[in-house]
Amino acid sequence: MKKTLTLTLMALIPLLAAADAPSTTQQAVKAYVQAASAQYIAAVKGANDFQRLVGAFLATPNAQTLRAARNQWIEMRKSYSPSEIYRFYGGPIDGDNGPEGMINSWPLDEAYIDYVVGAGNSGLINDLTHYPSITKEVLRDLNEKGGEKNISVGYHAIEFLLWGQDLSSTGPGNRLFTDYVVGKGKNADRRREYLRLATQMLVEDLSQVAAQWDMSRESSYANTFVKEEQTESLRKMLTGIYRMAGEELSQERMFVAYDTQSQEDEHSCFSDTTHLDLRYNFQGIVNVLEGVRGPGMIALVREKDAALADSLAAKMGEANKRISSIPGPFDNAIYSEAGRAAILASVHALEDLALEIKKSAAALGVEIN
Amino acid sequence: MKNGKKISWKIPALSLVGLLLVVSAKSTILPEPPGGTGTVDDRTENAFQHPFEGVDRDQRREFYVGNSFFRDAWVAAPSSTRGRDGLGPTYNSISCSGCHTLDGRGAAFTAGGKVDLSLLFRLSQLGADGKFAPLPAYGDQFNPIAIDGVEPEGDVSVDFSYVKGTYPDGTGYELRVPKFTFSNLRFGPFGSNTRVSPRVAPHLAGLGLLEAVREADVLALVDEKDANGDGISGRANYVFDRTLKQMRLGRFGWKSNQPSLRQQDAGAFVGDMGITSSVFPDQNCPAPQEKCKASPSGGVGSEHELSDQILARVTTYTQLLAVPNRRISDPEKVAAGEAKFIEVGCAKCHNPSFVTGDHEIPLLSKQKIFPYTDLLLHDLGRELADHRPDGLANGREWRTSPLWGVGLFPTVNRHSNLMHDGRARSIEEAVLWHGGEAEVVKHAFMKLNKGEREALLEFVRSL
Repeated sequence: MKKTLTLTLMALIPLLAAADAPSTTQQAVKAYVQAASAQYIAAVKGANDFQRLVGAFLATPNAQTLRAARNQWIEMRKSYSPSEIYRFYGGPIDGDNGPEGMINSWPLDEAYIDYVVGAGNSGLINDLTHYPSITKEVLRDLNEKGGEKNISVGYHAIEFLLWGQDLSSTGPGNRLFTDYVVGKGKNADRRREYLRLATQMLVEDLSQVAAQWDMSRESSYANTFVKEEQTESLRKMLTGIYRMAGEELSQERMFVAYDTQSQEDEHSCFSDTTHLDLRYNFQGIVNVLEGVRGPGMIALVREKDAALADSLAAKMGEANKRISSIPGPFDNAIYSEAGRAAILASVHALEDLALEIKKSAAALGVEIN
Repeated sequence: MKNGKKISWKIPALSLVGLLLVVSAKSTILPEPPGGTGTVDDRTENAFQHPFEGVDRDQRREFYVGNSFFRDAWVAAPSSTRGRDGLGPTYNSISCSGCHTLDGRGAAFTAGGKVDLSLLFRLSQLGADGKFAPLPAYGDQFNPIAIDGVEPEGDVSVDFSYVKGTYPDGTGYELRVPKFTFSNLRFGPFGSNTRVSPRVAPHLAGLGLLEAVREADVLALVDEKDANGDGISGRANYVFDRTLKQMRLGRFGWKSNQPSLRQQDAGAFVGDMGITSSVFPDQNCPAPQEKCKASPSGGVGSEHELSDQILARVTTYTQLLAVPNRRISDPEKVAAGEAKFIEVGCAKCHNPSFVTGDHEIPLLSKQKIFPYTDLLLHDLGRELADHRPDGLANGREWRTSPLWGVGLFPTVNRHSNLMHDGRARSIEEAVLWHGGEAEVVKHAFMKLNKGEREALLEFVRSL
C-alpha cells in the first residue's frame, strides 16, 4: 500500500521523483561496486582452493587427485563467469593493462603450450632449446607480446593442462595423470612447473583485479567509480549488461558456434563445461539487473517507467528460462535438433533483453552503444 | 537515422550530435550523416565497431560471427579449435584486430619509436625483363614473426630524421621522415633491385558503402590526361578479380589494388596471418623456407584454413561496419574550414560525396555518403613514392584515402599518425606531405592565414 502510494506520488510530481532519484542511484552504484568486489573475492577464493588442489595433485599425481583438481577448476569458473559482467567499459579487468587476456584468453594455441595430436614435440613444454627453463618470467614475457604471439596462460591454458585435447564427441578431454609423473610423462617435470606457475599467475592476476574493486583502498578503481558523475557510473553499468547480453553472450559465445557448427568453437572445450559458462555469464547479468547488495537496474528503471521495468524483468526471465534449457555438453547441443532450437531461442531472448536494456538506458538519460 | 522499410534491430536512440547542432548552429545547415542511414552516434573509443544502423537481426548475427573471427586470435595448427587454426607459418599478426585495433587505424610505430606490427612491407624485385615479381626467398610481403619451430623472415627497424619548413606567414613546422632497415634476414639479403612498400593498417568504417559506389561514378572522376587543366589527373586501377576471373576496378588498399571486400579480406588473411582460403589457396612459403613448407595446414578435410563460410561472414562484417557521425563543436569554424577545403582544392581528389548504387546487401544501396575520396590513384610526389608498381598504379601513385572518421583516431587508437607509413603525426603534417599532383593545392593551403588553416583542419577533424 505504502509502495503504491509512493509510486503514484512520484508519477504525479516529477520534481519529487527527480529529487529522490539521486539517492537511489547512489545506492545502486555503491551496491554494484560491492557486488563486483564480492564476485572477484569469490573468484580469488576459488582460485586459491584450486591452487591447493593442484599442489596436492603435483605432490601425488594419480587419477583421484587429478579429478579433484579438475572438479575445482569447474567450481572456480562458476565464481569467475558472473564477474565478466564487469567488462566492456575499460574497468580493472579489461582497461589499459587489464589482465583479461592473461586470465581468460581464448581460443587457445594448444600447440604453443604442449604436445597435440599430429605434433608430438610441440609447445614450450617440449622445447628445451629455446626455453631451457620454465619460469614465471618466461611465461609473462611471452604473453606480453600482444598481437604477435598467442597467450599461453589463464583458465583455458590450465584447462588444457588438466584435460588435454578433447578428442571425444561424447565426453571431455582425457589427459592421463602420468603426464605429470616424472619418468613416465615426456618432460613431466616441465609440465608440472608450467601448471604450477600458470595457476600461481591466475591467482595473482585475479587478486590484482579484486584489489581494484576494494572500496577500502583509497586509490582503488572502486572509489573512482562511486565518486564520478552518476551518469558515467550508470553508463558503465548499463554498457556491461548491454554488451554481455547483445554481443558477447548471444553472438560471440552462442551464435558463432551455432552458425559455424565447429565442434570445439566453444570456450571451455577441453572440459566440456561451456554450458555452465553460459549460465554463469547470464547470472552476472541477473546480478546487475536485480541488484545483489542493494537496488539493481530494474529498481532504477522502475522509478522512471514502471511498465518498462516490468518488461525488462520479463525479458530477463525469458532469457534465463531459455539458457537453462540448453542441454550440455554444448558441443553436442550445436548439432542436435533440440539443442539448436534451444540455442537459437536463447540468442533471440538475449537480443530482446539487450534492446530492453537500451530502452532502459534512454529512460535513465544515459546513452549506450 | 533508421531505415524506413526494415525493422531496425536497434531502437532509435537520442542523437546527441544532432541535438548539439540544432541548439548551437542557428544559421548553419545541419550536415547530412556521413554514412547514410547507417550512421552511428558514438564518439567514444568504440566508435568504429558498430554494425550499420537499421540492420536486421539475421545480418546483425552474421556481422558478429564475422567480428568474432576478425577480433579473436588465430592459433597454430593442429588445435582443438579447428575453425580457428592455421596461423602462419610466418605472419605479421595473430588476428585482424591486432593491427586494425577496435576497427581503427594502426599506429605504424610504437611509443618507443619501434616499427609497430600494424605496419607491413610489400616486396617486389625488378627483373632483367623489366617486370616486377615477388622476391624468390621472401614472397611479396615481409613476415617478421613465425609460429613455434619455424624461422621468421627477419627484423625491421626505423630511424627518423626531421625536416623543418616554414609557412609563408612565418610559422614553422617540422616533418618526420622514416627510414627502414631490415636485419637478421634469415634467407639472405633482399638484393639490389628490391622495392619495399610500407603500408599501415587503415580503419574500416564504411567499407561496404565504398564497395557500393557505382563504377561509372568513380570513372566519371577520372581525368587521366588532365583535360580540364587543373593539375589533377586521377587514374583508375584495374586489378584481377580472382573470383570473377576478370579485371575489375580496384577500390581497396593503399593503391586501390583490390576489387572487392571479399578479396581484400582474403588477401589480408593470407598475407598478414598466413591463413589460406579458396581465394588465395597457396601458403606463403617461398622456396628456401623449408620449415615453413613442412608445417601442418589448419584446413579441415577439403576445406581451406579459412572456410568459405567464415570468409563470407568476415566479408559481411567489413561491409556492415558503420560510419560514425560527425563531431562538430564549433559549427561556424567548421563551415569556414569546409569552404577553404573546397577553395584550395582538397575536394578535387577527396571527393566529398557519392550516392551508392546497388549492393548485395540492399541496406547499403542508394545511400548518400560523404567519404571524401574518389577511390582513384594520384601521383603524390617523389617524397612519398615507394617506386613499386601495383596493378596499374605506378611507384608515385596512391589512392585518395577516405577522410571520414580521421578525427576519431586519437580517441579510438590513441595516435594521430597518418599517410601510408604513418609518418605524419597530425592531419596538418599529412597535408604538408602531399606533393606531385597535390603540390599546387598544398601551396594554396600554406598561403592561408593561420586561422583559415586551423579552420580547415578543424573541418577535417570533424569528419
